Amino acid sequence: MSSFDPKIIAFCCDQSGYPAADMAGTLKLKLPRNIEIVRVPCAGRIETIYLLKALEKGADGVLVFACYEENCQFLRGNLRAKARLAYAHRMLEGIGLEKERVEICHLATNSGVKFVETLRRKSEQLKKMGPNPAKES
Amino acid sequence: MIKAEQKPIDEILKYLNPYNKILLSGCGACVTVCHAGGEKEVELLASGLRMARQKIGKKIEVLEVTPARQCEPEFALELSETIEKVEAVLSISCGVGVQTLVRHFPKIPIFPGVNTSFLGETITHGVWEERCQACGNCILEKTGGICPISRCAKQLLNGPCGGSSKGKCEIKKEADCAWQLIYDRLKTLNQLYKLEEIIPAKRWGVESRDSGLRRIVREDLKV
Amino acid sequence: MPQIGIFIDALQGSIPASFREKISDYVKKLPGIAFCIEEENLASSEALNRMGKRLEAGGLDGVVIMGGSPKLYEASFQKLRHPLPFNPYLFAVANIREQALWMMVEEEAALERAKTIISKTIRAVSNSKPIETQSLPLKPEVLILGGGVTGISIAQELAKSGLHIFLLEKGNHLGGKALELHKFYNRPLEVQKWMDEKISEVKNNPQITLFTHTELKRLDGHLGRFQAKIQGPDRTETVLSVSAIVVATGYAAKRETKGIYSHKRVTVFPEMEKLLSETKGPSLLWDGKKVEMVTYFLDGVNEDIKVDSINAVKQALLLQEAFQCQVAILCKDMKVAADGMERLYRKAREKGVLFFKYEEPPKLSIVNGQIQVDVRDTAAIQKKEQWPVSILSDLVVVGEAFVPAPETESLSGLLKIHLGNRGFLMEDNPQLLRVRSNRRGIFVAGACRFPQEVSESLIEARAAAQEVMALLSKGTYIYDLAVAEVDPKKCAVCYTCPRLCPHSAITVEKYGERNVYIISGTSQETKWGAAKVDPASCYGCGICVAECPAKAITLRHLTDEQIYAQMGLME
Ligand SMILES: Cc1cc2nc3c(=O)[nH]c(=O)nc-3n(C[C@H](O)[C@H](O)[C@H](O)COP(=O)(O)OP(=O)(O)OC[C@H]3O[C@@H](n4cnc5c(N)ncnc54)[C@H](O)[C@@H]3O)c2cc1C
Ligand code: SF4
Ligand code: SF4
Ligand code: SF4
Ligand code: SF4
Repeated sequence: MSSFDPKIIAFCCDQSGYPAADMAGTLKLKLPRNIEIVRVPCAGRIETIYLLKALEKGADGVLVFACYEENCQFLRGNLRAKARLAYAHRMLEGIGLEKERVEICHLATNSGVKFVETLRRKSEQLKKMGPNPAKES
Repeated sequence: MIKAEQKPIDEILKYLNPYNKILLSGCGACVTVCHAGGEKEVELLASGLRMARQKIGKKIEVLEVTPARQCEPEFALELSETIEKVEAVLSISCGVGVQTLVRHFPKIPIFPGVNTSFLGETITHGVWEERCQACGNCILEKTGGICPISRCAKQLLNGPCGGSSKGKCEIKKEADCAWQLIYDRLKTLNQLYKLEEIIPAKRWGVESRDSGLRRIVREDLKV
Repeated sequence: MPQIGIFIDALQGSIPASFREKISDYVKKLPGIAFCIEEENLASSEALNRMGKRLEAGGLDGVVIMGGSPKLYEASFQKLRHPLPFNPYLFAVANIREQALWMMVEEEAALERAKTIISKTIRAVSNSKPIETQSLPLKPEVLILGGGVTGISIAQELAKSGLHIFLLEKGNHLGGKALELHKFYNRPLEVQKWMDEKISEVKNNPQITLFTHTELKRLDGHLGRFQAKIQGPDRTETVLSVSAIVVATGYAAKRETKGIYSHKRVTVFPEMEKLLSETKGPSLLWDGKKVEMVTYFLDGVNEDIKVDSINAVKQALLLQEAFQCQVAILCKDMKVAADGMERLYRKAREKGVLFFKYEEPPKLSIVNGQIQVDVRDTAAIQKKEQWPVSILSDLVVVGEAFVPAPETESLSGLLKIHLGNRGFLMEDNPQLLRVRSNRRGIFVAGACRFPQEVSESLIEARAAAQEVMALLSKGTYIYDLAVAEVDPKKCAVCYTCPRLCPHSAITVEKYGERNVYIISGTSQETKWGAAKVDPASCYGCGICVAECPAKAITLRHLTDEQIYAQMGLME
């Protein structure tokens, strides 16, 4: 199991998550290896199907990095993202997958440390959980 | 319009168990509008089904389609070629659409993927409420435009019952008492006299479904 | 196979040469690469020039910059407004510095990660389409709702810059709540005189068309093409077509009348102002009796006592100086944050105005036809020294509650702009865009946003006027079609998107005049009952795209394919 390196797809809102990722790089904070960063203009662009397709097509976990609530550039993008996560969680529960595989993290542009710590924590958590059994083989 | 709700995926998985290749068909009309069975929901459910089956090592192939309206024969028949390729169909249109497919594709199992709930209206985004039970003889004229058949828990025609309290229904405390609404509305319209007229019992056996399948025939339209 | 050109940023100290070399070796082996060259500091204008020269040759389907964060290059493209001979949407940035080189422990891993990022970026850009720029003509015409001091001041400012203003006032005269004021707290002017001058200036300004007794009935259209149906006296209706709208409809005051508040010796600020302005003699009379003791009680109705504090101190000074009254001001906390208030407060203390700070609200009772105010003064440090004080007052002045104007809610519905939590109109972003509403082309200013005093309203007015001018001065609004687009054939008219668009950029006007579509493949126009995004009003957030149950909406610059490519999911 020690060789298992969980693949995480990290959706990053351009108003907070993406700059936080940049900030993490600038601070030379180290990220787990297997992470795909997806840049979106607003967390509101992240469709529910992306969360599911990520898992279906090979990810072990999904993280959504969005602005703090009440702080969305587009008023309700982050709230919509949160609601879509709730839908995805219901679906995962229905098919017997751990809903912790999909998580939202609220942060700000300068949260480089939080960005990396969240990914590290998720990566460790997924290592314990094991590979996503529902991904396409 | 028709309002529906997705069935729990575990229920769907149970009856799809014997099949390894299915067609998942949505509908572009009512169930799209109530976010239960449009193209987006087709995509989501398909992904969920594939993952669930992958997880138990029993892959399923899901073809996805969303005709504009599943309850018209022409739209249904457009699916012919696709249906030939699959072992079963999961339809997330309303129960009508499911049966349209059943009528035209008698040899293939067809399952419902949603619970068709009621004829209702949108209260706010994401909230729908029942408004009509298709009783076959509309009495809205007598009740100020508020339907006691669908909105009164007891379907009273000459309400309210003794349980109406502070505008709320005794059966479902969070719901407005239909007869309170009727009273308030007739008062606003200055038509309270309408309440003096006793609405006779509905002829359920004639106009409604109690006497069996209902059918509308329009001789002038038939070709 | 699409041809992609690649520039590697060779900024000093950014990505080491050895790493760049490995990257370039990798890239050159990939199919469809037209060239892969290094440039010194790609975010500089010189490098952009050289890049432009390269691109003039043509033959490319996309360009990838390999370097640092895309934000860097995007900012410099914006800042330098560089007219590159290449559509900016065919550029993509592979962020191999922040997100690979700097984020991985070993170089090996960084290289692997960089390679993945590069191939994803190439795939995403291969799926990109050029995005056109459009321009929308903007007539120099603006509608201002509300003829209070904010609306008037905005009209004056805008008229100076040659715009034509329609100034709409629901009442029968201009001026609003400022007409209830006698003196400013921070300026030596008589408010009435100052207002009269402003009002007559507005009335005689040929650039300003004034409508009194008039209300907005309906608003259609978007930025540059708003159609405002207004209803004047005798129910006459007019349709104004304007480019932008400023809402300055102010607030309403609600007087507390319960219990002792209805007593004839309890009054409110505006009445006191009136009394002060009308009394000429050496003493002040109230109900036929000379007024000697006046008590102000501040926290009774408004939680935010900023405006009430200003008024109380201002009036107290006048009362003490001109009418030899003794004044006491009672409050939980004095609010002196406004410009110049600290000084005024000190002056009031020097002149003998008494301030009592309390925790328990004072008790008001009637004693011999006067109002007795009992309060425990907490100014002393020791609790036992906090003496109860009784003030027998000829007059008690209390605040009025500041509430949103009664039509605010319906107006927000008509204009499709957001209400904030207390029912006032809300700005788009409190930090950055103070006077912009959530809709492009609609601005909000003055006390319709929050309770404020005149100096603040004047600042708001100036800010709003500047925003409007910045928008309209060029005569056109130029924007990229990097927006959401509805496929009318797929739209089920479920109203999800118009309900959820935070910028009210989508409308469904079934059978209306505006939703005219060209049937694809023909030049035939048809009126289609479908949702339609106004491209000049869309901010490109993508919320509608993700919500549409019919998958009828595409975000032109970030399609599903481009997202799946970023996720590494495209075969
Ligand atoms: C939730 C609720 C609360 C109520 N509270 C009160 C109250 O507090 N006070 C009050 O006065 N009234 C109340 N009512 C109304 C009261 O219950 C009814 O008026 C009463 O029960 C009607 O009796 P019924 O025998 O006519 O019909 P039902 O009780 O409806 O019985 C009809 C029976 O016929 C059967 N049936 C139907 N079709 C056929 C068929 N073709 N062949 C054979 N059998 C058939 C049905 O299965 C059913 O068993 C309430 C009603 C409801 C729903
Ligand atoms: S009376 Fe009958 S037809 Fe009319 S709304 Fe009610 S259930 Fe529907
Ligand atoms: S309370 Fe009203 S709605 Fe409920 S059953 Fe009685 S009459 Fe009908
Ligand atoms: S969400 Fe989609 S289907 Fe609904 S109105 Fe908008 S475009 Fe049409
Ligand atoms: S992309 Fe955002 S701003 Fe544009 S129409 Fe959709 S929801 Fe509105």
